Amino acid sequence: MPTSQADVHATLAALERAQTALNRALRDEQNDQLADLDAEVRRLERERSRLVQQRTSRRDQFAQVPPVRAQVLAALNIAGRPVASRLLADIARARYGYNIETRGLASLRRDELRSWRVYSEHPERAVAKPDLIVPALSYDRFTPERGTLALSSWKLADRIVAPASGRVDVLVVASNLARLCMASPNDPWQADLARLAGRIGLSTRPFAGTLALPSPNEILDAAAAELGIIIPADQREREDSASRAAGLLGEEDQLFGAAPLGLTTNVAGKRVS
Amino acid sequence: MNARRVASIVEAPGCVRRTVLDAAGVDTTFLVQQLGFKRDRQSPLAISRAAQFEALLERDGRAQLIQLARRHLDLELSDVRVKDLSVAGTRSQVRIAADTRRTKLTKQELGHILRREPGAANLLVKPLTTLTIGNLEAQLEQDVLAFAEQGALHVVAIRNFYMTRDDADPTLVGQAARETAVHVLSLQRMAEALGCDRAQISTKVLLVLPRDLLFVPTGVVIDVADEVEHLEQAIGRIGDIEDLAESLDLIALPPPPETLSSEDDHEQFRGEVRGALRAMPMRFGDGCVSCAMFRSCRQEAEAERSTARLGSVVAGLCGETGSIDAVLDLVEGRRAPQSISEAAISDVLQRASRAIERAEIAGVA
Repeated sequence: MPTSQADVHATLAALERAQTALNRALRDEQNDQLADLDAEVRRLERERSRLVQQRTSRRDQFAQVPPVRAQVLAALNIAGRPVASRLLADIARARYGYNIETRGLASLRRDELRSWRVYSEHPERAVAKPDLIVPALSYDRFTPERGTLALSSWKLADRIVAPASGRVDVLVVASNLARLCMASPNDPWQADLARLAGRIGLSTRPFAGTLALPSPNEILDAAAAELGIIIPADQREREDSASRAAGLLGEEDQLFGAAPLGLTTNVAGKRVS
Repeated sequence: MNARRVASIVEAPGCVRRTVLDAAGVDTTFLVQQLGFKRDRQSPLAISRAAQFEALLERDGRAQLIQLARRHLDLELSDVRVKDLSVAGTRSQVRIAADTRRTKLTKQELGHILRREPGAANLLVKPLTTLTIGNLEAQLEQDVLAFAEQGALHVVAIRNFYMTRDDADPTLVGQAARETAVHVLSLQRMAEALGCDRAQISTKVLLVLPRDLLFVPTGVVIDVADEVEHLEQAIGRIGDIEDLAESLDLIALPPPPETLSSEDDHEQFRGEVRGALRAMPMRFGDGCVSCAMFRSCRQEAEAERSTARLGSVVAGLCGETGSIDAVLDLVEGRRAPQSISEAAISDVLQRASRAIERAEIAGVA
């Protein structure tokens, strides 16, 4: 709501008067008045800042950024496999320019659990089954893996991490990013995303000791070679683990993980890390 | 008790004071602060750079570390099977205390690896091991990783000082070598306890450092076999610490003060602490720099006018004559030498004294 020019004049005049009064009090050592005068100056300075912001219309830029949840969903959809929050944030920044703060992701997961519980009690109210942000699960006890995120729409075996899965998933993600870059060679985000994929590509065998980032094509080949060797065993382990989980866990735990052994549940019935 | 403290046992061998304090688990940093010495603080910038470097290495499923291990340790690592033994990684069993379960899980996993069981991990993250010193057991939080292949384990140490094109600061590399030797020794002993060959724990460790002032991680392999040997010898010399402690007339350290109002109270407290410390003989030397008690012991050496204050070389030269005043008396002729070694010191220092005089006359000194 833009302020009228008359109001601007009034605010500036009031600020100048308040500053003069404060300076005089300091010079004349009228210490008992200083606190009040200082507070008044600061109040008027805040008012002035608000006017400046209106004029420079920085607020419009903020309106364009979608909420964190949407940013995370977008990045996970690109990744295609469970990722650490740091890598997720890097993907979101490279592809969309989003700045996801990894610290906020813990509370995001708690909100997701709440949403799911609401949905599961009243499925008729939901427009469609929500795609939820969930933690990856450990292969042995199905506890949530700290700092890793996945999508509920992925099959359980893909959301479970076995000992070798960390490396497998990072290579699959790199391949997905590389494919995206090759499909859209002229888009403005291509270079940043290619750099991110290249960073992972540097850790593949053909690029040992080199400093130049591999191209998307090279990343695909190198990752495929390494994955060809390690995916079968990893996939088997994950699928065995998933069958066990399906037999042991209820729907909520299959999504959000089982509680750690020996941990007492809080009043709401679950500890979500 | 961490690897750095254990490693420094080698640097200051035979210091009873340090041995007893370490064995008792006294927080020497806190103790020294109570005596009025300022705390040794690492700069916040250094701390955050160290944290940043570690975060960089943890990125992308530890991709860079895997590559460095393949390259410098000649490991195949076709698949990477991670076992996270950190506090966060072992939270699925909260019924047991963190340290106990981590040590148990580390030992278990180590067993799988050394017995070459299929499905054993080949990358251990933050394992927790133990080391017996004297007759006390120290728990070592390994801030290192370990890569394993064909039943052999290599320790990885991450440090923050940088490496130039050809080399790195030798003092810091030496310190890293000694600290890593503690981890290696601890793993070797654990291997033996499991009935396996301690040679399966390699003494070739991978040291990961940032390259130049860029943050690019580089690796260098150092062999810490010598350091492990020295460490074992030093630990062996400690013997039974409780016997040692009983042979001394130990004074109990006063309890930390809740409220110390007056300056007199402070002074009395400090006096009590100093008295308790003095009941334990110290051996001041060049290796003391890394000990938390350094400044306090140095002040004591200075007050006693001990030759140790002048460094290990000078103290060694002066031999049994431990007091600076006694040595000067010899050199300046106020006292006759009482033994062959005193005669020798007197001789050397008198010649040196004359050489300095001649240099001063010649206008050179």
